[in-house]
Amino acid sequence: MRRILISIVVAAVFLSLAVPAGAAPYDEIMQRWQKTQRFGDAGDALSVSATYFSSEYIEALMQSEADKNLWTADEMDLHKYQLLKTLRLDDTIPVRFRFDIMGSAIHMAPFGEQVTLWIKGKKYKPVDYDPLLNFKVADTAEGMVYFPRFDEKTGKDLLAGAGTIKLELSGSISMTIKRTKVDFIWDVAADDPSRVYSGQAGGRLEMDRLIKRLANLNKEKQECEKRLGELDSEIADIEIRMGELQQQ
Amino acid sequence: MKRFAALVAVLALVAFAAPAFAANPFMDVPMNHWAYDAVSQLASRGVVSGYPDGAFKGEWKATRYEMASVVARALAYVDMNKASKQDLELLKKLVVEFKDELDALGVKVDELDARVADLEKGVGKWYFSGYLRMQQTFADGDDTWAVNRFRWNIKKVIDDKVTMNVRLQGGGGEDVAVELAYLTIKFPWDITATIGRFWHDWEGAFYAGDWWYFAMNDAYITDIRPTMAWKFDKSFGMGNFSLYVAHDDNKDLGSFAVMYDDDYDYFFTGTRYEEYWASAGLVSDRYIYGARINFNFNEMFSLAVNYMKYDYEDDAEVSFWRNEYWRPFGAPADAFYFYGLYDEGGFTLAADTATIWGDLVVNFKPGITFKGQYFMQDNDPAWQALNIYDGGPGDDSPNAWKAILEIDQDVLGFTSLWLEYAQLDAGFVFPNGASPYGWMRADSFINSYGQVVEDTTVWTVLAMQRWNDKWGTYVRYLKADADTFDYDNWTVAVTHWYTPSLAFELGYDKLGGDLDDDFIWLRTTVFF
Repeated sequence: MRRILISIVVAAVFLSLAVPAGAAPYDEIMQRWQKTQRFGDAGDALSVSATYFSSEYIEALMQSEADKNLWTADEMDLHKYQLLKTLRLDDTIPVRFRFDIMGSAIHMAPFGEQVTLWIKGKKYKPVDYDPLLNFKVADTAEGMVYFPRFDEKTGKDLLAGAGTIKLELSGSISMTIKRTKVDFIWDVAADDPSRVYSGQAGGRLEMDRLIKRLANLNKEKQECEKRLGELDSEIADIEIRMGELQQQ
Repeated sequence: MKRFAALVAVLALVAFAAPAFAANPFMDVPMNHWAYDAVSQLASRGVVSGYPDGAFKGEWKATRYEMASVVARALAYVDMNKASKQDLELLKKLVVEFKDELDALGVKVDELDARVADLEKGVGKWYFSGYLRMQQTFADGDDTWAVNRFRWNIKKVIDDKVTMNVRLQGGGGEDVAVELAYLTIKFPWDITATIGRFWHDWEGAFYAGDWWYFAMNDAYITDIRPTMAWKFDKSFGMGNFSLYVAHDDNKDLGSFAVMYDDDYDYFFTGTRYEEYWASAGLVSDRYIYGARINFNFNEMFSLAVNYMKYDYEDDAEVSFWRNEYWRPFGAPADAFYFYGLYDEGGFTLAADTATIWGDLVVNFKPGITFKGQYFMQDNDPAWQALNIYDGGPGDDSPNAWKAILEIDQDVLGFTSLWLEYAQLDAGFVFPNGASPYGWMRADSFINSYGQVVEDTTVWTVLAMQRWNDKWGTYVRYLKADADTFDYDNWTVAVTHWYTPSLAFELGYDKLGGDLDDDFIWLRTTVFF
């Protein structure tokens, strides 16, 4: 029996080291950035997945969806554009949570209080999150949580120079979780968010930003023109009055 | 969050716009104003109560002041269990409409902002969840049908710092009672305190489940639920530090155990058989205290060091006995006749047990994790009773370790895999008094005191397959091996989620080796 068990272990190790037949190269990349933890308590079961949207993950996700749905290059660009718009990578660090309940329902409100992102020893709370996460979850729930990407005071990129980050979820979201905190850890040193802005999708997002900026500039211009008009009018009034005074 | 931000923006707009076009507060609200309908809707759904003069019958014509007063009271008395998202939207709309009058009434808009935000976030609400489980067991001549467990979780978010949890549980022959009752409190400096009666588990990552609907939980030292405990957790950059202290009143660990037997052949008289016993009784108050530090070096590698001591106020009463039996010549081989019982003496011995252990986790590939634990124990003499009688004192510092390889279903495609190998020294104590291998009937190598009887190795294998959102299967295997026994335990089961809230599980459990038994079970569980 001992031999059989040892054989099982050896086989398992080989199986795990080999890439399973049919697995696409991007599967492993996606598994790296999507971390899952499972919890159970005598009949209650819950699994929590957290996904960090690294550039590598986004590329792998798009490729995976393109393969599944047989997208053309244009369709892929369109979907990538929509995904990037949702992710708001230009000013936030987005994380997707997924909760699979196979047990008692959970209530996580207020969800924003339950999560903390640790970067270089400092903690950050979400700036926004999907309000769905505030409601009862009896089956499956998914939602985005957005953390700030830039320091509020200095405007510096919080991830610049960060090696490993920790996302902390409070265990009090469910009595099934016996730990006080649940940690999700990612090494982000090699992640380069600018990579995802290549191609047509990146161009469209840049165009969106430029349109917004143009609208702001036009608004400022109008305000300036209005002010200029007021000043011109005041100058004209003064000149008229000065003329009147000279004639006296 | 977005809705709340929008509300704040609207409130700010209204605040800055006043007073140029503020309405006259003593002006009647026209009878066709939407506010009447909004308040009526909230009242009809039982969300708000407490109107002026105790009534609002649709005929009452209110001034703006009166209507603002209704809104203020509605916010103060809103029934949080009944308020839906739609109700909250209506309340927000009313707050915006009557903001000036609320200001004049001295109701601070800031407080209302906070109140509405709290409502949206669920602060102050009562939440209920749980399950009801029925089990039918079919064994040789011993079928049992029972309401196996009823569990009712109650949660209340008191405010942004305090959450209260209570669990009522019963079934399986036990009355419904309070199983858990505790507060989670957020303190400054990232310290979280848990106070009350709660499960405390530092080993959750080192056993395969409590997952799905079976227990397979071999936490050696923690996973405890004392009468009352305090726990403090402090997060820092890449790690956590925890302190734990608990107290149990009159904890009764029971008594044990047969320890030694032998037989001798006597030429003229037959065979003498001696059976030696030690029994230890321990009923005492006890403190349990410990500390843990965990550090994640990166996403691949983490280490933790833990310490836990079970400190008994009173000593254990340990007694030794000897029985003698004889089998005269000519008697059947299995016939022994009682000859005499001898009291060999008793002792009062300390029974504390302390364990220090290390945890190692290596995620060497996505979805593939190696985990290891090494335990070093320091036990007081009561735990060495077996060896004392047999010429001791024996080893007062037994060790144990386990190594685990965990592979996710995503990696292998068709199944997940949990492979665990453990070695336990004789005398190693599971200090909570309960066997961590108590699932099904796989703990025959542990006495009733929660102590390993002899050097033992344990293999545990679990393969789980989640085929889709409706069907799941699992196979698990346990093999326990020691000098005087060798047995295994197979389990196979299939789970069907008829709806996400209703699951059926049909399983078969087989004990092999020195033990021989099997049974079939059917579980029906409804979650809410």
